[in-house]
Amino acid sequence: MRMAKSVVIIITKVPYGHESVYGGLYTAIACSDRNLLAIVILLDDGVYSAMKGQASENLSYPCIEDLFYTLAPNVKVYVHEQSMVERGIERDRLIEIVEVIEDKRLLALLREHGDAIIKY
Amino acid sequence: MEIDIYKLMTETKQKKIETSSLLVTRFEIKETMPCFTTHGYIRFVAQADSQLDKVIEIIFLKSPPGIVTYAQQENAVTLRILNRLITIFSSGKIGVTNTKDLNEAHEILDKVKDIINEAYADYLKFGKPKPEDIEAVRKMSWIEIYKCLPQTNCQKCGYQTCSALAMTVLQGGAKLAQCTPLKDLKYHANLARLRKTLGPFLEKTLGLGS
Amino acid sequence: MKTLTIYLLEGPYTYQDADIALQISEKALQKGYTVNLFLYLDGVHVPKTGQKAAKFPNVEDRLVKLIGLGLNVKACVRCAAARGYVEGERREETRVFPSRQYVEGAYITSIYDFPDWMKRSDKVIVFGE
Repeated sequence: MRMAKSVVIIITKVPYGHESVYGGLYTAIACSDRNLLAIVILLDDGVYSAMKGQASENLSYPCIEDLFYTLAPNVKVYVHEQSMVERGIERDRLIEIVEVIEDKRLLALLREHGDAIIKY
Repeated sequence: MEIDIYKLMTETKQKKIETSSLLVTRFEIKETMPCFTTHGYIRFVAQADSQLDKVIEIIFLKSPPGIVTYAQQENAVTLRILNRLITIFSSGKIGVTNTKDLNEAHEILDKVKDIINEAYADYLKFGKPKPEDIEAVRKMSWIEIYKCLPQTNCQKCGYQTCSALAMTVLQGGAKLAQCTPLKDLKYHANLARLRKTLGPFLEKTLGLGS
Repeated sequence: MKTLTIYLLEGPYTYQDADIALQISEKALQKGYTVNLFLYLDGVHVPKTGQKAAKFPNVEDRLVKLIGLGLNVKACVRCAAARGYVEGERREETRVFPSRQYVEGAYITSIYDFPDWMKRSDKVIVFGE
Protein backbone atom coordinates (compact mmCIF):
# COMPACT_ATOMS: atom_id res chain seq x y z
CA MET A 1 0.00 0.00 0.00
CA ARG A 2 1.54 3.28 -1.11
CA MET A 3 1.00 6.21 1.22
CA ALA A 4 1.45 9.82 0.19
CA LYS A 5 4.67 11.38 1.47
CA SER A 6 4.67 14.37 -0.82
CA VAL A 7 2.22 16.63 -2.57
CA VAL A 8 2.42 18.93 -5.55
CA ILE A 9 0.10 21.90 -5.45
CA ILE A 10 -0.49 23.38 -8.88
CA ILE A 11 -2.02 26.83 -9.06
CA THR A 12 -3.47 27.91 -12.39
CA LYS A 13 -5.61 30.83 -11.34
CA VAL A 14 -5.07 34.55 -11.01
CA PRO A 15 -4.68 35.92 -7.49
CA TYR A 16 -7.55 38.08 -6.14
CA GLY A 17 -9.81 37.01 -9.00
CA HIS A 18 -10.13 33.56 -7.47
CA GLU A 19 -9.95 32.35 -3.87
CA SER A 20 -8.04 29.26 -4.87
CA VAL A 21 -4.64 30.96 -4.92
CA TYR A 22 -4.99 31.84 -1.23
CA GLY A 23 -6.60 28.44 -0.61
CA GLY A 24 -3.77 26.63 -2.37
CA LEU A 25 -1.05 28.38 -0.34
CA TYR A 26 -3.02 27.75 2.87
CA THR A 27 -3.23 24.03 2.03
CA ALA A 28 0.48 23.93 1.13
CA ILE A 29 1.35 25.22 4.60
CA ALA A 30 -1.00 22.75 6.26
CA CYS A 31 0.51 19.83 4.34
CA SER A 32 4.08 20.91 5.12
CA ASP A 33 3.28 21.39 8.82
CA ARG A 34 1.89 17.85 8.85
CA ASN A 35 5.19 16.53 7.46
CA LEU A 36 4.17 16.02 3.86
CA LEU A 37 6.81 17.38 1.52
CA ALA A 38 4.88 20.06 -0.34
CA ILE A 39 5.88 22.05 -3.40
CA VAL A 40 3.89 24.70 -5.24
CA ILE A 41 3.97 25.05 -9.02
CA LEU A 42 2.51 28.16 -10.64
CA LEU A 43 1.18 27.30 -14.08
CA ASP A 44 -0.93 29.14 -16.67
CA ASP A 45 -2.52 32.20 -15.06
CA GLY A 46 -1.06 31.10 -11.73
CA VAL A 47 2.24 32.72 -12.68
CA TYR A 48 0.67 36.14 -12.06
CA SER A 49 0.53 35.27 -8.33
CA ALA A 50 4.29 35.66 -7.99
CA MET A 51 4.56 39.13 -9.45
CA LYS A 52 6.31 41.83 -7.44
CA GLY A 53 4.61 45.01 -6.36
CA GLN A 54 1.14 43.72 -5.55
CA ALA A 55 -0.79 46.41 -3.67
CA SER A 56 -3.79 44.59 -2.36
CA GLU A 57 -4.65 47.04 0.45
CA ASN A 58 -7.46 48.60 -1.60
CA LEU A 59 -9.10 45.20 -2.01
CA SER A 60 -9.03 44.45 1.74
CA TYR A 61 -7.58 41.11 0.69
CA PRO A 62 -4.38 39.48 1.95
CA CYS A 63 -1.36 40.26 -0.22
CA ILE A 64 -0.56 37.06 -2.12
CA GLU A 65 2.97 38.25 -2.95
CA ASP A 66 3.81 38.53 0.76
CA LEU A 67 2.18 35.18 1.54
CA PHE A 68 4.75 33.37 -0.57
CA TYR A 69 7.36 34.36 1.99
CA THR A 70 5.41 32.52 4.70
CA LEU A 71 5.93 29.31 2.78
CA ALA A 72 9.69 29.48 3.28
CA PRO A 73 11.77 27.63 4.07
CA ASN A 74 9.97 24.31 3.78
CA VAL A 75 7.74 24.79 0.74
CA LYS A 76 9.51 25.64 -2.49
CA VAL A 77 7.72 27.56 -5.21
CA TYR A 78 8.28 26.97 -8.94
CA VAL A 79 7.05 29.03 -11.85
CA HIS A 80 6.44 27.52 -15.28
CA GLU A 81 8.58 29.28 -17.85
CA GLN A 82 6.34 28.72 -20.88
CA SER A 83 3.39 30.21 -18.98
CA MET A 84 5.51 33.30 -18.28
CA VAL A 85 6.53 33.60 -21.93
CA GLU A 86 2.92 33.31 -23.10
CA ARG A 87 1.95 36.14 -20.77
CA GLY A 88 4.95 38.34 -21.53
CA ILE A 89 6.30 38.18 -17.99
CA GLU A 90 10.06 38.59 -17.51
CA ARG A 91 11.93 36.98 -14.60
CA ASP A 92 12.71 40.31 -12.95
CA ARG A 93 9.00 41.02 -12.53
CA LEU A 94 8.64 38.06 -10.18
CA ILE A 95 9.61 37.83 -6.51
CA GLU A 96 13.14 36.60 -6.00
CA ILE A 97 12.34 33.42 -4.10
CA VAL A 98 10.65 31.47 -6.90
CA GLU A 99 12.49 29.18 -9.28
CA VAL A 100 11.63 29.25 -12.99
CA ILE A 101 11.32 25.80 -14.55
CA GLU A 102 10.84 24.49 -18.06
CA ASP A 103 8.67 21.55 -19.11
CA LYS A 104 11.24 18.79 -18.54
CA ARG A 105 11.87 19.96 -15.00
CA LEU A 106 8.13 20.30 -14.41
CA LEU A 107 7.66 16.67 -15.36
CA ALA A 108 10.56 15.61 -13.18
CA LEU A 109 9.09 17.44 -10.17
CA LEU A 110 5.69 15.84 -10.71
CA ARG A 111 7.32 12.41 -10.88
CA GLU A 112 9.50 13.01 -7.83
CA HIS A 113 7.03 14.75 -5.51
CA GLY A 114 3.65 13.94 -6.97
CA ASP A 115 2.40 11.25 -4.60
CA ALA A 116 -0.65 13.48 -4.59
CA ILE A 117 -1.22 16.21 -7.14
CA ILE A 118 -3.70 18.97 -6.41
CA LYS A 119 -4.60 21.39 -9.13
CA TYR A 120 -6.41 24.57 -8.23
CA MET B 1 25.13 23.54 29.54
CA GLU B 2 22.60 25.55 27.59
CA ILE B 3 23.81 28.35 25.39
CA ASP B 4 21.57 31.12 24.13
CA ILE B 5 22.29 31.08 20.43
CA TYR B 6 20.71 34.47 19.90
CA LYS B 7 23.07 35.94 22.50
CA LEU B 8 25.99 34.14 20.93
CA MET B 9 25.27 35.72 17.59
CA THR B 10 24.71 39.23 18.84
CA GLU B 11 27.40 39.51 21.52
CA THR B 12 29.74 42.31 20.67
CA LYS B 13 32.69 43.33 22.76
CA GLN B 14 32.94 46.60 20.89
CA LYS B 15 31.13 49.74 21.90
CA LYS B 16 27.46 50.10 20.97
CA ILE B 17 26.91 50.41 17.24
CA GLU B 18 26.26 53.98 16.19
CA THR B 19 22.81 54.71 14.79
CA SER B 20 24.27 55.87 11.51
CA SER B 21 25.62 52.42 10.74
CA LEU B 22 22.38 50.56 11.40
CA LEU B 23 21.09 48.77 8.34
CA VAL B 24 17.59 48.19 9.68
CA THR B 25 15.68 50.48 12.02
CA ARG B 26 12.17 49.11 11.73
CA PHE B 27 9.99 46.31 10.41
CA GLU B 28 6.43 46.27 9.21
CA ILE B 29 4.45 43.07 9.66
CA LYS B 30 2.78 42.40 6.32
CA GLU B 31 0.82 39.14 6.51
CA THR B 32 0.10 36.28 8.86
CA MET B 33 -1.02 32.71 8.25
CA PRO B 34 -1.70 29.89 10.68
CA CYS B 35 1.27 27.81 11.74
CA PHE B 36 -0.04 24.34 12.22
CA THR B 37 2.99 23.10 14.14
CA THR B 38 1.47 24.56 17.31
CA HIS B 39 -2.28 24.92 17.54
CA GLY B 40 -3.37 28.54 17.52
CA TYR B 41 0.06 29.88 16.57
CA ILE B 42 0.88 31.98 13.54
CA ARG B 43 3.60 32.39 10.99
CA PHE B 44 4.20 35.86 9.62
CA VAL B 45 6.14 37.86 7.10
CA ALA B 46 7.59 41.29 7.83
CA GLN B 47 9.35 43.84 5.67
CA ALA B 48 12.54 45.59 6.79
CA ASP B 49 13.18 49.19 5.82
CA SER B 50 16.31 48.14 3.86
CA GLN B 51 17.52 45.59 1.38
CA LEU B 52 19.44 42.86 3.18
CA ASP B 53 21.53 41.38 0.37
CA LYS B 54 24.77 42.60 1.97
CA VAL B 55 24.28 40.68 5.21
CA ILE B 56 22.84 37.33 4.11
CA GLU B 57 26.19 35.64 3.58
CA ILE B 58 27.63 37.11 6.76
CA ILE B 59 24.71 35.90 8.84
CA PHE B 60 25.34 32.45 7.35
CA LEU B 61 29.02 32.61 8.22
CA LYS B 62 28.36 33.87 11.74
CA SER B 63 25.83 31.18 12.64
CA PRO B 64 26.59 27.75 14.12
CA PRO B 65 26.39 25.53 11.01
CA GLY B 66 24.01 23.12 12.69
CA ILE B 67 21.25 25.72 12.96
CA VAL B 68 21.55 27.60 9.68
CA THR B 69 20.84 26.91 6.02
CA TYR B 70 21.82 29.17 3.16
CA ALA B 71 19.78 29.11 -0.04
CA GLN B 72 22.27 30.52 -2.49
CA GLN B 73 19.88 30.77 -5.43
CA GLU B 74 17.30 32.79 -3.53
CA ASN B 75 20.02 34.58 -1.50
CA ALA B 76 18.19 33.83 1.72
CA VAL B 77 19.31 32.40 5.03
CA THR B 78 17.20 30.38 7.50
CA LEU B 79 18.01 30.22 11.19
CA ARG B 80 16.60 27.60 13.51
CA ILE B 81 16.66 29.65 16.69
CA LEU B 82 14.29 30.87 19.40
CA ASN B 83 12.22 27.72 18.88
CA ARG B 84 11.16 28.65 15.35
CA LEU B 85 12.43 29.10 11.82
CA ILE B 86 13.46 32.59 10.83
CA THR B 87 14.21 33.19 7.15
CA ILE B 88 15.93 36.39 6.11
CA PHE B 89 15.55 37.34 2.45
CA SER B 90 17.72 39.69 0.45
CA SER B 91 14.69 41.79 -0.47
CA GLY B 92 14.27 42.69 3.19
CA LYS B 93 11.44 40.29 3.86
CA ILE B 94 11.58 38.17 7.04
CA GLY B 95 9.55 34.96 7.33
CA VAL B 96 8.98 33.55 10.83
CA THR B 97 7.11 30.42 11.93
CA ASN B 98 5.67 29.13 15.21
CA THR B 99 4.83 32.44 16.89
CA LYS B 100 2.21 32.90 19.59
CA ASP B 101 0.74 36.22 18.45
CA LEU B 102 1.59 39.63 17.06
CA ASN B 103 3.09 40.80 20.36
CA GLU B 104 5.55 37.96 20.30
CA ALA B 105 6.16 38.68 16.62
CA HIS B 106 7.37 42.18 17.47
CA GLU B 107 9.68 40.82 20.18
CA ILE B 108 11.18 38.35 17.73
CA LEU B 109 11.66 41.08 15.13
CA ASP B 110 13.63 43.15 17.65
CA LYS B 111 16.03 40.23 18.00
CA VAL B 112 16.22 39.77 14.24
CA LYS B 113 17.04 43.46 13.92
CA ASP B 114 20.01 42.98 16.27
CA ILE B 115 21.26 39.99 14.28
CA ILE B 116 21.03 41.94 11.03
CA ASN B 117 22.67 45.08 12.37
CA GLU B 118 25.50 43.11 14.00
CA ALA B 119 26.09 41.39 10.68
CA TYR B 120 26.08 44.76 8.94
CA ALA B 121 28.73 46.03 11.34
CA ASP B 122 30.84 43.04 10.32
CA TYR B 123 30.16 43.78 6.68
CA LEU B 124 31.41 47.32 7.11
CA LYS B 125 34.49 45.98 8.88
CA PHE B 126 35.35 42.92 6.77
CA GLY B 127 33.57 43.54 3.47
CA LYS B 128 31.86 40.90 1.34
CA PRO B 129 32.90 37.34 2.23
CA LYS B 130 34.93 35.40 -0.31
CA PRO B 131 33.18 32.53 -2.13
CA GLU B 132 35.79 30.11 -0.78
CA ASP B 133 34.93 31.09 2.81
CA ILE B 134 31.29 30.37 2.13
CA GLU B 135 32.08 27.03 0.51
CA ALA B 136 34.27 26.05 3.45
CA VAL B 137 31.46 26.70 5.93
CA ARG B 138 28.92 24.96 3.72
CA LYS B 139 31.07 21.84 3.81
CA MET B 140 31.72 22.22 7.55
CA SER B 141 30.84 19.12 9.48
CA TRP B 142 31.64 18.10 13.02
CA ILE B 143 34.41 15.91 11.58
CA GLU B 144 36.32 18.96 10.30
CA ILE B 145 36.28 20.38 13.82
CA TYR B 146 37.06 17.02 15.42
CA LYS B 147 40.16 16.61 13.25
CA CYS B 148 41.61 19.78 14.81
CA LEU B 149 40.89 18.78 18.43
CA PRO B 150 43.39 16.85 20.58
CA GLN B 151 41.27 13.67 20.18
CA THR B 152 42.29 12.45 23.63
CA ASN B 153 38.76 12.35 25.11
CA CYS B 154 40.12 13.98 28.27
CA GLN B 155 36.59 15.28 29.14
CA LYS B 156 37.93 18.62 30.42
CA CYS B 157 35.34 20.30 28.16
CA GLY B 158 32.51 18.59 30.04
CA TYR B 159 31.77 16.09 27.26
CA GLN B 160 32.64 12.41 27.11
CA THR B 161 34.50 12.58 23.82
CA CYS B 162 36.07 15.12 21.50
CA SER B 163 33.56 14.10 18.85
CA ALA B 164 30.69 14.89 21.22
CA LEU B 165 32.10 18.37 21.80
CA ALA B 166 32.56 18.88 18.05
CA MET B 167 28.96 17.88 17.33
CA THR B 168 27.53 20.04 20.11
CA VAL B 169 29.61 23.06 19.11
CA LEU B 170 28.25 22.81 15.58
CA GLN B 171 24.71 22.98 16.93
CA GLY B 172 25.61 26.05 18.97
CA GLY B 173 25.25 24.15 22.24
CA ALA B 174 28.85 24.44 23.42
CA LYS B 175 31.88 26.69 22.91
CA LEU B 176 35.26 25.60 21.56
CA ALA B 177 36.93 27.50 24.41
CA GLN B 178 35.65 24.68 26.62
CA CYS B 179 38.49 22.60 25.18
CA THR B 180 41.12 24.06 27.50
CA PRO B 181 43.96 21.75 26.30
CA LEU B 182 43.84 23.59 22.94
CA LYS B 183 45.51 26.54 24.65
CA ASP B 184 48.58 24.41 25.50
CA LEU B 185 51.71 24.93 23.43
CA LYS B 186 51.57 21.21 22.61
CA TYR B 187 48.44 21.81 20.52
CA HIS B 188 49.57 25.06 18.94
CA ALA B 189 49.35 23.56 15.43
CA ASN B 190 45.86 22.17 16.14
CA LEU B 191 44.66 25.58 17.25
CA ALA B 192 46.10 27.25 14.17
CA ARG B 193 44.49 24.66 11.91
CA LEU B 194 41.18 25.12 13.70
CA ARG B 195 41.28 28.89 13.25
CA LYS B 196 42.03 28.45 9.56
CA THR B 197 39.24 25.89 9.12
CA LEU B 198 36.62 28.05 10.81
CA GLY B 199 37.47 31.47 9.43
CA PRO B 200 37.08 34.73 11.38
CA PHE B 201 33.28 34.67 11.70
CA LEU B 202 32.76 31.06 12.79
CA GLU B 203 35.76 31.30 15.09
CA LYS B 204 33.88 33.91 17.08
CA THR B 205 30.47 32.23 16.84
CA LEU B 206 31.73 28.83 17.91
CA GLY B 207 33.42 30.45 20.88
CA LEU B 208 37.04 29.77 20.11
CA GLY B 209 38.15 32.86 21.96
CA SER B 210 41.21 34.94 21.18
CA MET C 1 -8.24 -2.35 2.68
CA LYS C 2 -7.55 0.46 0.26
CA THR C 3 -8.26 4.08 1.09
CA LEU C 4 -9.39 6.77 -1.30
CA THR C 5 -9.46 10.46 -0.42
CA ILE C 6 -11.41 12.88 -2.56
CA TYR C 7 -10.77 16.61 -2.37
CA LEU C 8 -13.79 18.56 -3.61
CA LEU C 9 -13.49 22.27 -4.33
CA GLU C 10 -16.84 22.94 -6.00
CA GLY C 11 -20.34 23.34 -4.68
CA PRO C 12 -23.34 21.37 -5.91
CA TYR C 13 -25.28 22.01 -9.15
CA THR C 14 -23.10 24.71 -10.83
CA TYR C 15 -20.56 22.08 -11.77
CA GLN C 16 -21.08 18.36 -11.98
CA ASP C 17 -17.98 17.79 -9.87
CA ALA C 18 -19.95 17.01 -6.69
CA ASP C 19 -22.06 14.43 -8.54
CA ILE C 20 -19.03 12.71 -10.00
CA ALA C 21 -17.21 12.76 -6.68
CA LEU C 22 -20.19 11.09 -5.01
CA GLN C 23 -20.54 8.59 -7.83
CA ILE C 24 -16.91 7.53 -7.48
CA SER C 25 -17.33 7.42 -3.68
CA GLU C 26 -20.34 5.14 -4.01
CA LYS C 27 -18.54 2.69 -6.30
CA ALA C 28 -15.48 2.68 -4.06
CA LEU C 29 -17.59 2.09 -0.93
CA GLN C 30 -19.32 -0.81 -2.70
CA LYS C 31 -15.90 -2.31 -3.42
CA GLY C 32 -15.09 -2.10 0.28
CA TYR C 33 -12.74 0.87 0.17
CA THR C 34 -12.48 3.40 2.95
CA VAL C 35 -13.53 6.67 1.35
CA ASN C 36 -12.82 10.14 2.72
CA LEU C 37 -14.37 13.28 1.27
CA PHE C 38 -12.68 16.55 2.17
CA LEU C 39 -14.59 19.72 1.29
CA TYR C 40 -12.72 22.93 0.51
CA LEU C 41 -13.66 26.34 -0.94
CA ASP C 42 -17.19 26.05 -2.37
CA GLY C 43 -17.20 22.31 -1.68
CA VAL C 44 -18.37 23.21 1.84
CA HIS C 45 -21.83 23.91 0.40
CA VAL C 46 -22.36 20.22 -0.43
CA PRO C 47 -23.64 19.08 3.02
CA LYS C 48 -26.12 21.95 3.40
CA THR C 49 -29.53 20.75 4.58
CA GLY C 50 -32.76 21.67 2.83
CA GLN C 51 -31.60 21.29 -0.77
CA LYS C 52 -34.54 21.17 -3.19
CA ALA C 53 -33.13 20.77 -6.69
CA ALA C 54 -36.05 21.02 -9.08
CA LYS C 55 -34.77 18.98 -12.01
CA PHE C 56 -31.31 17.89 -10.96
CA PRO C 57 -30.39 14.91 -8.79
CA ASN C 58 -30.43 15.98 -5.14
CA VAL C 59 -26.84 16.13 -3.88
CA GLU C 60 -27.85 16.31 -0.20
CA ASP C 61 -29.88 13.09 -0.43
CA ARG C 62 -27.05 11.27 -2.18
CA LEU C 63 -24.55 12.47 0.41
CA VAL C 64 -26.75 11.31 3.30
CA LYS C 65 -27.08 7.86 1.71
CA LEU C 66 -23.29 7.57 1.28
CA ILE C 67 -22.62 8.71 4.84
CA GLY C 68 -24.91 5.84 5.82
CA LEU C 69 -22.67 3.50 3.81
CA GLY C 70 -19.56 4.76 5.65
CA LEU C 71 -18.41 7.81 3.73
CA ASN C 72 -16.25 10.09 5.94
CA VAL C 73 -17.00 13.75 5.31
CA LYS C 74 -15.07 16.71 6.67
CA ALA C 75 -15.00 20.38 5.71
CA CYS C 76 -12.40 23.09 6.22
CA VAL C 77 -13.45 25.52 8.95
CA ARG C 78 -11.89 28.55 7.22
CA CYS C 79 -14.02 28.00 4.11
CA ALA C 80 -17.13 26.94 6.03
CA ALA C 81 -16.96 29.92 8.39
CA ALA C 82 -16.50 32.33 5.49
CA ARG C 83 -19.66 30.95 3.91
CA GLY C 84 -21.70 31.18 7.08
CA TYR C 85 -21.87 27.59 8.27
CA VAL C 86 -19.98 27.77 11.56
CA GLU C 87 -22.29 28.42 14.49
CA GLY C 88 -20.03 28.32 17.52
CA GLU C 89 -16.71 27.50 19.08
CA ARG C 90 -14.96 24.22 18.45
CA ARG C 91 -16.12 21.36 20.72
CA GLU C 92 -12.99 20.13 22.43
CA GLU C 93 -14.04 16.48 22.80
CA THR C 94 -14.81 15.99 19.14
CA ARG C 95 -12.69 18.84 17.67
CA VAL C 96 -15.70 19.68 15.49
CA PHE C 97 -17.31 23.09 14.91
CA PRO C 98 -21.09 23.05 15.37
CA SER C 99 -23.50 23.63 12.50
CA ARG C 100 -27.21 22.94 12.36
CA GLN C 101 -27.05 23.63 8.62
CA TYR C 102 -25.05 20.50 7.88
CA VAL C 103 -26.40 16.98 7.37
CA GLU C 104 -25.59 14.55 10.16
CA GLY C 105 -22.26 12.84 9.66
CA ALA C 106 -20.64 15.76 7.83
CA TYR C 107 -18.27 17.64 10.11
CA ILE C 108 -16.59 21.02 10.04
CA THR C 109 -13.05 20.45 11.29
CA SER C 110 -9.90 21.92 9.79
CA ILE C 111 -7.52 21.75 6.87
CA TYR C 112 -5.15 19.66 9.07
CA ASP C 113 -7.38 16.68 8.42
CA PHE C 114 -6.73 16.76 4.70
CA PRO C 115 -2.97 16.08 4.83
CA ASP C 116 -3.59 13.56 7.61
CA TRP C 117 -6.01 11.72 5.33
CA MET C 118 -3.67 12.03 2.36
CA LYS C 119 -0.86 10.37 4.27
CA ARG C 120 -3.03 7.33 4.86
CA SER C 121 -4.52 7.07 1.37
CA ASP C 122 -3.64 4.91 -1.59
CA LYS C 123 -5.08 7.52 -3.94
CA VAL C 124 -6.08 11.16 -3.79
CA ILE C 125 -8.44 12.61 -6.41
CA VAL C 126 -9.13 16.30 -6.75
CA PHE C 127 -12.32 17.76 -8.20
CA GLY C 128 -12.44 21.45 -8.81
CA GLU C 129 -12.22 24.20 -11.31
